[in-house]
Amino acid sequence: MHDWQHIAELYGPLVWRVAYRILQNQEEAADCHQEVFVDAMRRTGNLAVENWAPFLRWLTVRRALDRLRSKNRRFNRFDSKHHVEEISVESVPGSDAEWNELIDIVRRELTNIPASQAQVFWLHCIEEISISDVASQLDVTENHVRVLLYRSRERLRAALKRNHPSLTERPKK
Amino acid sequence: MNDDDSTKYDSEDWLDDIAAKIRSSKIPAYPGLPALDTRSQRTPKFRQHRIVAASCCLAMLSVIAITVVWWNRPAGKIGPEAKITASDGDDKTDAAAPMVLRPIEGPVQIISINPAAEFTRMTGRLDRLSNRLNQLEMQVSVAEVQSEAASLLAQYAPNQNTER
Repeated sequence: MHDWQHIAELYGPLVWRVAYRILQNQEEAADCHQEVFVDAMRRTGNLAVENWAPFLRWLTVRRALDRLRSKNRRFNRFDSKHHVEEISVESVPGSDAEWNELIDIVRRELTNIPASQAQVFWLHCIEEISISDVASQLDVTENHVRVLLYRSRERLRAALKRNHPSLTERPKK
Repeated sequence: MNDDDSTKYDSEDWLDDIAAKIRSSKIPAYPGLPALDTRSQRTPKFRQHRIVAASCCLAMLSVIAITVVWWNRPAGKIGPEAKITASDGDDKTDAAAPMVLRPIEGPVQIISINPAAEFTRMTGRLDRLSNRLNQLEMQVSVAEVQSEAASLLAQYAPNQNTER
């Protein structure tokens, strides 16, 4: 039997960090944190887990992206403008508006592409997990991960071009 | 490298830069979330939804219960046991009958009650009368009507007791 309280104390900050990065909202991140551990309990039961960090990180990315997707769908039903405003709430304080806009575009487009592509992109490009680790976590081949990554980048790239045609000039870092 | 390739390369750089920006974005300190609720295995938001759903069900049941009671109420109008007149002397008894919704203006008073009415029947009628007056938003408080009704009932209660 796992000591869940201990696991939550140990990996809670990791789950929180990953969830907040995706959701950009404290309440949503807190709910996601709870969901991740409940999901982990269901999935693992009494099975031994070799390394909790990658498992919980993957679970958090998956759950948070699902949450972001359902939230966007909900807002899309009413008004696409409203959706953009909602997604911008609490977005990356301190950075300039242009970067925030690009980040919002990426986050929004991640909810429109297949879940597996979005997960692979986030795990590899944002969380910097190696291709082989992502493959073992998702239980697919490395080649398949590369394909998913390529497709996700294509979609994101197209979305960036579509929403931000003047991408030849980079915003100042 | 042709144009397409260079575009692709630029865009990929953009994505990498955006990814780096996301990684370096400020994240609030871990709030030290409450202990895991392993018994219910529910998220806080789910619990809130459950409470809202339960409240809605209760409200709906109340409405159904009130409707059933209303439809099964005893037939008949307020009169002739109770008579309602406006300050100008107009008889407003019919206007205050259960199915009439038009308002009655001016002060209202109960001026007579048939003494032969049964005590329990009269109680029901008077309750309905006071509810109706309230529903019609007349310029008379429910407390006034109730006190009036109570005094009339007190007057006829001995009759009812002697009947039994």
